[in-house]
Amino acid sequence: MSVLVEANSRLKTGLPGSLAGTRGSAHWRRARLHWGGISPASVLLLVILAAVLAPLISPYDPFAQDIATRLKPPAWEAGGSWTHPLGTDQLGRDTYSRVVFGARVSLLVGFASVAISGVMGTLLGLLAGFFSGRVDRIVMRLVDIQLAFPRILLAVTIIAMLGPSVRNLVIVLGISAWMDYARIVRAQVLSLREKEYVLAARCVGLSDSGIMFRHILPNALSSAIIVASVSVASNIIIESSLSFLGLGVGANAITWGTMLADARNYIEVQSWLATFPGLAIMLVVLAVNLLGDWLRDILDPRLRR
Amino acid sequence: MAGFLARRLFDLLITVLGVSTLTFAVLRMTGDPVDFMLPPEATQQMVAEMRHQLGLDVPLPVQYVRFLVGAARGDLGESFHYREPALRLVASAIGPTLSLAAVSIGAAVAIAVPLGIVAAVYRNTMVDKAAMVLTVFGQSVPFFWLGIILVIAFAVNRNWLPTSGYGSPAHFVLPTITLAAFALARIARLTRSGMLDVLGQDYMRTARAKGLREAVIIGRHGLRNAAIPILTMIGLHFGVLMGGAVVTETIFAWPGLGRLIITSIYLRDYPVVQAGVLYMALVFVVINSALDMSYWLIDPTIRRE
Repeated sequence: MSVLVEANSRLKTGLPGSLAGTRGSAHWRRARLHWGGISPASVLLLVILAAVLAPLISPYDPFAQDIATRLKPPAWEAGGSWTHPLGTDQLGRDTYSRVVFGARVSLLVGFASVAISGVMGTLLGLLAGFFSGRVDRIVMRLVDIQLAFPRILLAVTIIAMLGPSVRNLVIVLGISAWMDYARIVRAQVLSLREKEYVLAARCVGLSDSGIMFRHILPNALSSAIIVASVSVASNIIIESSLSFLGLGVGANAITWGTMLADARNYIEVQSWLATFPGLAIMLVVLAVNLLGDWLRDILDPRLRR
Repeated sequence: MAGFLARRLFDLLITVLGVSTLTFAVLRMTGDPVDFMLPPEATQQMVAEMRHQLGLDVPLPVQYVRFLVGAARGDLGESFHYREPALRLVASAIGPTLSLAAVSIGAAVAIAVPLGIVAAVYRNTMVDKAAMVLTVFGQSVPFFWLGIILVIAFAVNRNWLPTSGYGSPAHFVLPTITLAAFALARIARLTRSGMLDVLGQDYMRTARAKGLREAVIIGRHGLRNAAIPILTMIGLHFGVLMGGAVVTETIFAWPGLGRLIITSIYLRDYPVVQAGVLYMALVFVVINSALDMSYWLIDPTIRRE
């Protein structure tokens, strides 16, 4: 829900100080837009690459246990060595390899669940805004009910029914986050459907669905994309916190959240165990957030002067 | 106005009813509570007796009607696990949750709003840039990881603060920082962007031309016009925290609502979960209405509609 306010403010007010408010030349403004997108995008690309190529770039099997070398500190600390650059966990598994493999679940869950909720919410918002009246009231009531219903209960239920797996976690996060899209797309559609070109399309005799999908949807899409950029970041955090609680993808998958949960028992002495997965989450979420800021700057027509 | 209020109240009722029904249905899909309460060697007869005792032997529609009738009377049943009224269990968890939520949001707002204003007024200076870098990190740090890091830094290594539990003011420090960081970052960014939008308006120039003091210009003419999205964000964060911060409460062993609900979900303690979710739905609905009312107070143009 706060995602909605955030996206709304991104849409309405943008961040004029960084762009519209400066006296800098058009050239600088463009350069800034350019680099503002390229740097986080390249970080994200690097992480995606690492996730895809995980078996090639990790020195160890992330599941391979070696009790003899358990709880080794990172290479630069006393007692560490470069055979395990980021150390090992309580079962002697290589932390670096596990962090690399952990990227797979985080990214997959973050992006796939957003795809589900984005399509669901955008369609419902489109219907609610276009037909208004009874359809609108029903959809908005559903939005409120889903918003007031604790996501964690849905997560436990679905995981209890279908079993813990990456796919099921994607389903949980996907079906419980459509509300922001519905609200923001609905608001956009309400104003778009009064536009002259919609009237024109109607006069030409275009059907409702033709108008909705050909003329209104493309114009409402940019706000949905902004919501999506915010929710990728929050879904990655939610995935890791669910895994942290043991509600995530099960024991067979490596995720940064489960690594943190394991690390909790060792924080008194082996505090590095909690450091690396946390840093990994932060790096990805930071890149997604910065990319989202950049997207907003690009997509907000008020800033495109 | 009366018609509007009646319609609004009806919508609220539908929302609360919808959430309760969904909870009732979803809970019964998670599994049989009797499996969790009896030893595996229990006889058929013991199981049947237990089911009768808990009121689970009647058909689901009857259970549902009983639940609704009870809820309308203020009786939400007895906890399967603790053998205490569910409402009393929930009520005793609200205190810790509410106090933590209030302190966290209070701290976040007290820092974030002035920070956002200063960043907007002195935009593109070092102060602004530092604030924006800090808040983009604050937005990206996984909060539960922050909690773990705080425990390592202040409680384990230095023994300055208690790591867990509830009671003295010192117990509040770490969970408050954990919960406030994210809200603080969000609210500060929103305040900044909202203020930037307002600062360029003609009425601000007029206020200045009238010779008003800067504090009045920024406070009464600036902040008030930027207030609605900021208040919405604050309200939503507060609402989420009032429902209990499951992960933070788990990390710090805080005896709040989030932990109560999650353990009750694990135990399939239907009455407690139902009571907890009902409370959360009511909080959601009340905060939303309070927000609507505050818009009405702040913005005269909304009053005229």
